[in-house]
Amino acid sequence: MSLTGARGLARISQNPRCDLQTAMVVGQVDEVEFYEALTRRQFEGEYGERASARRRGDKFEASLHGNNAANLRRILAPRFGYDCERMYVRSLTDEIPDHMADAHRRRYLRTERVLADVAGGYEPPSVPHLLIEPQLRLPVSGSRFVYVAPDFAVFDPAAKCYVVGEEKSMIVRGGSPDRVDLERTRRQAGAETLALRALAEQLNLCARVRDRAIFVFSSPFDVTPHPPVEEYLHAEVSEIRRALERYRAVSEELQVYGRRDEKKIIAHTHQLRINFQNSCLSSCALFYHCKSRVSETVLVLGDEAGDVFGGATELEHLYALADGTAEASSAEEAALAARLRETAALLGVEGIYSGKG
Amino acid sequence: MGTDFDLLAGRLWSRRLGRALPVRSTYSVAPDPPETFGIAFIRVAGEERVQAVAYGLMGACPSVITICNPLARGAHELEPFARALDEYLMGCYTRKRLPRVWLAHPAALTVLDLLGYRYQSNRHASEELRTMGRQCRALCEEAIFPGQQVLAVASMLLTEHIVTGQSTVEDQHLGAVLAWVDPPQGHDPATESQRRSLVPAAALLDQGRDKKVERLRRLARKCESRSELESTNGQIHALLEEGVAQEWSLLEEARTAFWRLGLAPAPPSYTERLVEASRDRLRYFLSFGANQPSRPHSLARRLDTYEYLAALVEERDACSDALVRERMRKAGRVIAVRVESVDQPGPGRNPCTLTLTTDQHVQRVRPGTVLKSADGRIRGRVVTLAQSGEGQRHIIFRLLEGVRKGRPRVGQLLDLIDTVPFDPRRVKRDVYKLMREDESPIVYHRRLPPSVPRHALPDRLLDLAEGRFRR
Repeated sequence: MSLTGARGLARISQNPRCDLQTAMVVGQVDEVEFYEALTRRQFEGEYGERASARRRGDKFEASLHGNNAANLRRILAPRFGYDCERMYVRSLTDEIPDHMADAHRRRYLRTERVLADVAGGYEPPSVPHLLIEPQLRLPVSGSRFVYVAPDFAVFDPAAKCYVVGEEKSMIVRGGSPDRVDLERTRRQAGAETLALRALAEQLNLCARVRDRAIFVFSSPFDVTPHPPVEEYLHAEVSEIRRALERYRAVSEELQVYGRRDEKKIIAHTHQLRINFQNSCLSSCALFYHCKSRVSETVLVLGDEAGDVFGGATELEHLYALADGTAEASSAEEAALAARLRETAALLGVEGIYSGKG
Repeated sequence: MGTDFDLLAGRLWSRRLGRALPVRSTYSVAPDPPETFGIAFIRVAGEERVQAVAYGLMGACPSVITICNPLARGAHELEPFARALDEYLMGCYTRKRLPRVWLAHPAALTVLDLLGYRYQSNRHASEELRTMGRQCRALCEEAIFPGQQVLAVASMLLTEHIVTGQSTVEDQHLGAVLAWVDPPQGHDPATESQRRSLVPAAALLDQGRDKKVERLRRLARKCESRSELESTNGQIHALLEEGVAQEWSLLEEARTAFWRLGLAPAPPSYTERLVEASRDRLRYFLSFGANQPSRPHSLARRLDTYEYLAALVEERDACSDALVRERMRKAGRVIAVRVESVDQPGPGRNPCTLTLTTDQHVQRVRPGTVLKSADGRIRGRVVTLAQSGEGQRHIIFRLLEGVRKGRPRVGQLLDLIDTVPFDPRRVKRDVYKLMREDESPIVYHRRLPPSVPRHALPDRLLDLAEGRFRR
């Protein structure tokens, strides 16, 4: 549920028509504080990652990156035809830890230099086989950027360029991880792929960057990694592009440029479009707030109801059509009213309307 | 897959009424046997390890295990659970009864499955725990089969049988669903559902208790005296017991609410087949292991089994559940027909051809479609179709079964359904045997054979067409 970096863009991509969520990402708000400031009520639900989940994630990452990324080398080497003992690894977070001033920009410059060497015709071992947490960035407007950092990038000798990778401690059973978790991870990787392409474009390497990523998940046994999975991300890259367009548009509209500014966003909330949908429940702290804004419409019954009845249709209008107290304005509405009555009869609740229609 | 309009409209009416509405007239599972076993877990988020489990016969006070240090190597704390599960399953087989294990929601099923993966062949675990692992895997493998009758996941069963006045995504919270199934007097179910959604129903402690347990575990690691450690661990146990008691209570409430829907049982003629298949499969998994198929033939056999069972389930629903049958009718899968004439030269013998008429708006029928009557008396194949008037259609229907006693009379009204289960497995066994003998590299080998070079096309295509071209 993070709003920063690739995760923030992934969230926008899941619901690009919701300008309120986009504004929250642009303004880098604290979601719970934002909810409380907006609604003037205490946030009652649960929010944030559990300590045990965060610890597991850290443990998984440490197990992959420790000892010069021995475990990560071991599982990636066969895929790319390397000798894992001879793989050259650079960890940019080891070289420039987070606490150092201007860490993101400095790591980005180092990443840029590595890619420049690749553009200059260098291949491993002159450039690293494996980069741990390279820094990339996506331009949003003018000279402004969103920094994104894949967990790793591995050099593909066939493509002569790096492929981004994500490490997730979610457990894989029967060969595939949970669908919902995988979808978020794929979108994150889509943002990272786009950022890699943005850098490659500057170095005339664009043709070598494909819309794909490597995923490393966990097996059911402690933090032992599952064999890596490579996936193509055409759809996700396309959706992140769309998310970036929305990011730029909302940023321009609110004149908020990547710094925390909750007050400005709250002041403009009434003019920010919302797009309430099923996926909001698991991704946004404002789910119940937005649900209350659409409580009179069919959207409270879910996305399918919006698709079939029309998102702005009021529940009372449908009830009135079914019981004949409202006139159908078209043949379609008349047919709809008849079908609603049929369903009521089928489910044994025809007494629910007066049957005047 | 298209949206089922009736289910969507059902949500609309459910919201109006202020309670859930059944969308089936029969239960999809056989009645609970006299003894059913329930399991409720509390897991460590992310690790998916058990830190508390409540288990035992449903309707009775559960046994509870709480684990202060769930990430430690040894898991002997789970041995009483392992023994209880084994006793229940083996007891059912001794008495030739179907086991029935209740879980609250899919998250509990995931925890059960992971217990299976982690212990079934764990050399560091006791034999009791390895047996538990195999049994957990067997149960979870059985859960995937259409129409299975062993594992009852309450939230999935409830949402299969009712619609609520909220969205499908909110229905994923069992407490939120129960607010609609059994709305408290004087309370709006939508508000109650939202209130209940604030408490996790996914085999987790609520965040408040979770933070306390985390803090106490950190304290426990720094305890200097035995009494201090015991006191800290005691507090952890108490919090875990509260959490798992809540999960057990949710499970009991869901099971009671399910059976209180008051639907009719499906006829034994349909259910018995599924019960027997479930019992035999589980016995096989318990005896020989529940390894997932990975080779071409075993995968193909597994898919054949899924397909056949899905057809049996659909047949049961179409023939014995009035509500489901009406929904299938709207999709054209069930057709109401009238028998206009019967052409049977030899009484009680083949051939027997019926002329049927229907004015049903949606029909998914074409020449060659095999249909059977909902009462199971006749089965036949559509020979031809023709429009015969405004909105009316004539169907010439050759009987394959039911030419004697089941033969319908002129004027009789029938429901014909397009689900005619056929068990292909015996036939396919022979097919797979032949395939194995043929050993096509496309199926059996990792690499494709080298491509066969094409011969150049002849200059005169007419020669080719007239068969004069010789390779």
